[in-house]
Amino acid sequence: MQRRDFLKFAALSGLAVAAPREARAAVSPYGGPYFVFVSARGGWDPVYFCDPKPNDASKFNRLYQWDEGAHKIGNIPYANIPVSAAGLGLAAEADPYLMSAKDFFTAQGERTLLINGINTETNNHSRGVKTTFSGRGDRDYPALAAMIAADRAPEHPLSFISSGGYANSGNLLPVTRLNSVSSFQKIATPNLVNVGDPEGPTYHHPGTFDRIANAQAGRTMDLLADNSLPRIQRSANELYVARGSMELLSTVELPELVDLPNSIGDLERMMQQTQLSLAAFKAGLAVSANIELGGFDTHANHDNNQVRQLAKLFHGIDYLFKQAEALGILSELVVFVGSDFGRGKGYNGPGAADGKDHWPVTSMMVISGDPGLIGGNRVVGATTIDSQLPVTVDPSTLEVLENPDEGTQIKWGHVHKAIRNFVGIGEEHPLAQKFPIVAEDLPIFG
Amino acid sequence: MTRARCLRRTIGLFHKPALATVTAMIFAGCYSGGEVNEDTTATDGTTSLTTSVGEETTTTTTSDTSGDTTTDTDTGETTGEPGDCYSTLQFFADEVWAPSFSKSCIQCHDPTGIAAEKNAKFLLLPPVYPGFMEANLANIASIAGYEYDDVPLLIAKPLFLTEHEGGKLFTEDDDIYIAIEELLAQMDNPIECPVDTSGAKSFDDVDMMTPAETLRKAALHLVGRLPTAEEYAAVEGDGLDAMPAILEAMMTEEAFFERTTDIFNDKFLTDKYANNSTNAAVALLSNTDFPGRNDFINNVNMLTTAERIRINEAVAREPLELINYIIRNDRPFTEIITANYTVFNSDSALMYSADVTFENPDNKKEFQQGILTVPRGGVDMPFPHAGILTSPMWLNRFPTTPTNIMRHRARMVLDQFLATDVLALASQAIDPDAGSTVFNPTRNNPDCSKCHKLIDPIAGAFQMFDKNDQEKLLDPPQWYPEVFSPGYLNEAMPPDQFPYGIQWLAERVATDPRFALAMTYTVFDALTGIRPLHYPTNPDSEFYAEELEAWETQDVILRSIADKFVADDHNIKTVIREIVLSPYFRGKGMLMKPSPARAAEIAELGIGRLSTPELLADKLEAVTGYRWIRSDKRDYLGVDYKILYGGHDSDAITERLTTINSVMASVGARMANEHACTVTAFDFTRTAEERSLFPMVELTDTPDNGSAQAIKENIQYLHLQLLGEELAIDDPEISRTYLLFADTLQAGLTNIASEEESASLLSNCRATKDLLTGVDLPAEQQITTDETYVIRAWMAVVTYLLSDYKFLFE
Repeated sequence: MQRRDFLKFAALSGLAVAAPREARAAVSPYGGPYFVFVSARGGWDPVYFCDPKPNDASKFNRLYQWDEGAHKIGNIPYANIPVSAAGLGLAAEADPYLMSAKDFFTAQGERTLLINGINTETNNHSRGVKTTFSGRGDRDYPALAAMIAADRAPEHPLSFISSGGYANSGNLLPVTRLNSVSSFQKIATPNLVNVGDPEGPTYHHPGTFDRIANAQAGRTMDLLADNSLPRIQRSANELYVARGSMELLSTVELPELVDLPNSIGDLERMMQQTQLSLAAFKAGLAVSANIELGGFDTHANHDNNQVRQLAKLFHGIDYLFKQAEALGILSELVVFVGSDFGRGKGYNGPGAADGKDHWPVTSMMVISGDPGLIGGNRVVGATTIDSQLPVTVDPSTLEVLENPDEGTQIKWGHVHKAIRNFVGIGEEHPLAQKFPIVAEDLPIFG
Repeated sequence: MTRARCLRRTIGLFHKPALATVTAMIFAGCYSGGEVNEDTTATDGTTSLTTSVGEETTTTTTSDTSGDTTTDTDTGETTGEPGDCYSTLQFFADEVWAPSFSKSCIQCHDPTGIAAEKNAKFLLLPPVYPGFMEANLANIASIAGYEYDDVPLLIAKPLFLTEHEGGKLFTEDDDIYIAIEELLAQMDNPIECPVDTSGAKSFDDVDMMTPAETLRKAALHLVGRLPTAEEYAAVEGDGLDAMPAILEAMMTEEAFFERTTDIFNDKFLTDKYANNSTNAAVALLSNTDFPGRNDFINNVNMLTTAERIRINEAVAREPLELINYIIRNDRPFTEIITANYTVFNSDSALMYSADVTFENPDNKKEFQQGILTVPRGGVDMPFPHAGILTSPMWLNRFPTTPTNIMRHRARMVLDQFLATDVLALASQAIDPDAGSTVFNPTRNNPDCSKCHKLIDPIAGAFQMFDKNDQEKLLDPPQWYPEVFSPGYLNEAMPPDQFPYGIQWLAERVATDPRFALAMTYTVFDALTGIRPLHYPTNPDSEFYAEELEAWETQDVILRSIADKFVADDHNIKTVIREIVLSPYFRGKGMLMKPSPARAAEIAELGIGRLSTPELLADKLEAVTGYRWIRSDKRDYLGVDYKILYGGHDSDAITERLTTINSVMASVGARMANEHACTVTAFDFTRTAEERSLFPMVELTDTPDNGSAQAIKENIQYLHLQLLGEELAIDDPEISRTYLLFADTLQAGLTNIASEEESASLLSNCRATKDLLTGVDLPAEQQITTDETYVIRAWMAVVTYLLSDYKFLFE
């Protein structure tokens, strides 16, 4: 059995693994593709960006006019809502960091596969998040991001990064959080006294540092041999594996983190998470990352707050792609954008400051730096004009059907099964067998 | 039909009248929305649900010769044969619940299901509810006497002998039919078995810590220090019997309250507003309701940043300090939600404009009771204090909106104080089309009302607070006729209680048996790093039977602890003590290698919990004498590395990481390197008696000058001091560490000779100042060079031990 397969097997059994030190040093950089899962936390409103509806104050759009023929970028429909800091109650300094749906799809539409009309079967936050990002709400399944990382590079030190969103790793591999460049630099070179002076003094002579590491490894192996308490076996193994690749952390070239106005601190955090995740991808140490932007649970002031958060989200995702391009990894980037559920249907009151409540119909965007990978500029599924209900599709062609008694209503199980096939975790894969999803195959990715 | 395994549980429900009562209330409330049926005695006189009162649990304690094993076994009121006892409860769980009721019957017969809507008496709680299994058997006991044409209804319905909307579910040939018949037969005289409430039998293959080891772990965990000689002497003399008194004393130390602050902040997350902020908490307060805050916000008094952080923290910590006050004064822990007061120090009293008198206003550790008042209609209107539930910080941390109308807070009440994840009730798929056709769906659409029946009445208890301004008190309160009426379970809140609804609610929550369980779960998680297990619901799991056994064992032990908590007037220290003495805290190894199945069963037990950043920072000081701190005196692990090391910020990140990753391992390496550098030379500037690390050697001691034995003895001391390992001088681990020392020394001398390394110490590693006072050491006491390389060899040893598994993990 190859070492990598061995690690995968160990991950499946729920245990980390003690690989020989010489083998651990041979970890080669992971070259992509890289997967980012963006969570619009709280429940977004697709009607306000990718599933537009006619203006009707008594229904679900009081904000914008919709021309079905005109308001499209390629094949992607958009809600034509202009955004500005002043219009959204933000200081003018926030203007450069807001993006309308139109501008977003103008920039990213060619790369986007849009899935509308997903029946989430829940309007419960925790179950919604779990279902959106794991495929099942009735089991504590690992995040798809964790499964992909565990499948592709479980031994890499930053394989699955999550500083928000659904981070259940299912004990397949550890979760890593990143938040500070200066602190990361110091721990990436733990023996270096001054991280600003890479050639400067070290706490221990390199020979001593290695001697300590070897003694630690020997002692941990002996502990594992002598003590069979399951919790010790698991945690000592995890420590051993974690140590095995920590020297690679010094290969991460960290950027200077963005500094945004205080009024959009949440977007600053999202963009910083983006920077750190991309740096980890670039170094070949990470496979997948969770990134989150909150504030979408707009039970009140929906027409302002939902649009404001969407404008930040679009800027953040656009920034992700621009930065990936600057780092030369654009073509390897695949981004999944989802939320707890949708909002609606309709407003929860007649006033301008009213909101929209939870609605179990939503959308997902899959965006790839290599549009050919996913078939960009496509829309799958739809919702009804009058009721914002899921429309069925032909399971073979994905053509939207008029008769609701025919075809298939798209649910998260379908979407996740398609994504799993797309990323190489098909039904026969051990991870898919351990965490099965029972759903019809839909050719969402072609 | 075969017995699944040897079973150890008593039927329990006949000993838990309070639980049975609450369960009946849940059932009655959810089904009929009406009053509790006080008399559920069936026609044939089978056990009444609400009137069965058993004896108190009998406890026996035995100690083995080493004094390190305490066995609590509930032997009261058991009817089964000892040794091979198979209780009725277990029979129900194995043969009826698992194969059938949990899959088919519960679809309609859960508290908000279709059967419930039609007032069916046969009701089943899902595993979301703590104690669901006992409650379900109690319900069956209450209806066992109902018959149709001489056939028990529990059989007649699913056989479709009489009307049953679920249709025919099985035949007389099916195993489940036979199992239900057997269960009903046992109902007349339920089999009850002794209960292993200590885990002594359940974990008889697990090697437990000695009393001294238990003491060390408890001291480091609870008060961040090593045990005293007197404490060690006590456990060496009396074994674990000495522990309760020692723990009791520890739980009066100031450091203990820092620990409880962390424990309960992990739950309530109100430190979101502390976090070294100069105004995050104070800025939440209304400038008209709490005018004392205005000068602070405008910094009229030109306070320093440090003063502003201190004052803001006093406001942010108000709910956590209330909890500490309750613990410190040995008050019933129910007061965390029932106290009709809160506590202030002089800083928070000023911000809240509270009328409180202090013995010494300069002592910011002095907390006094007081009440919040706000101006309404020209008079001061008092807050309807209900512990932390009315804390402005808690109210802001769990905010509401005009359409959420307090449901978020209701969910938090269920989660934080009743161990009930109400969102998990929503297990069935929602049909968006169906929901859209129903008027007022939260009441009238079963998909929605399933949860709202439980949530909305609790939400109504918070109606005296504004839906936009989180802590603003309304006069009068406001509720909504289209929403379920305020109440708790089946009990409606009298309208005259609406202004004090939270107090009314808190009194009921505090007496709900789930409150004791919730508090037990919180402490258990905090002290062991083990999340209380959920009832396993995936029978396809490879080790389903073992997962079930693990849940049952843990459930019995934690319930037993919760019972003791209640019996001891809700003293939270009792819970802490019992968990410290439990196998979950004390397991340290296996007496024999476990099979894969057994390993799955005891996967979450004993040592191996990754220390939190806060615990690790305290431990470092406890064993070396010094903290790992920045130039501003704050802990590196509390600031720079808090998130990287898996901590949370009570805000965007609210969960701790429990699995070590490469970044965390690197933090450990950095910590060990920096701290070894800082403390090693300095320790040698002190007299041998004063030293934390090197009391048995001098800088002149090397392997080459006949000091090998002294060096090994100091290494032996370091293994005990830093890792708690009591090793013989010839133990291979002593040899490994000695070899590290000797090889490092030899290589270093070679490097100095070849000028690859300097004879001087790095400036960071020199001993020039007193680490505790910051005062320069006398020149003759300073250590700046290391010609013999002895200091650096010891640095290597200290680094090695400070980054060891047994240091990083508890």
